[in-house]
Amino acid sequence: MTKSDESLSFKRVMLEALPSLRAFAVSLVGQPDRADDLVQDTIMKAWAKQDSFTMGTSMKAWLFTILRNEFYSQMRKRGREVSDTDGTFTNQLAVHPGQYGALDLQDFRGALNKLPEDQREAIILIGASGFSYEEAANICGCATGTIKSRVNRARNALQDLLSITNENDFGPDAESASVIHRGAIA
Amino acid sequence: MEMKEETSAGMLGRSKGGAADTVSEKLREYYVSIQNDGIPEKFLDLLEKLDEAEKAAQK
Repeated sequence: MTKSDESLSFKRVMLEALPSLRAFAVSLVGQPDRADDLVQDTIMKAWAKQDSFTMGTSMKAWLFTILRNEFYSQMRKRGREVSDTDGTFTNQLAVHPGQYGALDLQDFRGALNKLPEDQREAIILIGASGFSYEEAANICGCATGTIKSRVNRARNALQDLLSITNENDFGPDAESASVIHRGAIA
Repeated sequence: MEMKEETSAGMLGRSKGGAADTVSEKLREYYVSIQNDGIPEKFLDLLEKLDEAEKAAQK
């Protein structure tokens, strides 16, 4: 395989992984603009170190690892500013805990953004990106058991934040909460 | 009466599994909605540029 064939196929495999990589970035960062910057940095980093990628192994896992490391390194540089991104969504969420039926993706994003980063990435990798616990543990550089417990905590926290419980299915809350909600954001 | 028993058994089943399922479904729905945006043009351009730069360097 010549050098140019290799890079052609590296590029092709990378392109295939990009939609998922971007979905990981957006759901992890919570802000599409910031997430796209992160994806761009990841593409450049990955390109520069393509010799360290072994063809035939998972490009997706490799890219996710680079993106994740980049995310945390940027976060350390910027301090805690990242956690502040959920402000507007957080306010909305606080006022309508029982809105089961009207739960939309915006609400979900707000709830996801409220999770600590380690729990957020764990539940995304396992619940949405399609990685096994072992693969997710490799990406995050931690033990499989740690991923499992983070996923559990994330799932419980999301249920609490979104108040998806049996009672809300049947109680009067759903309706009154949405009225309160409308009042609060008006 | 039979009906009611059946329903409450169903509810019990849902109270745990149902909530977890909803969280998982929402997460996947959210993720897939982003994934379906496709690849922004700027990333394609970037890859094109990186590729060209590399080819130029090899000549």
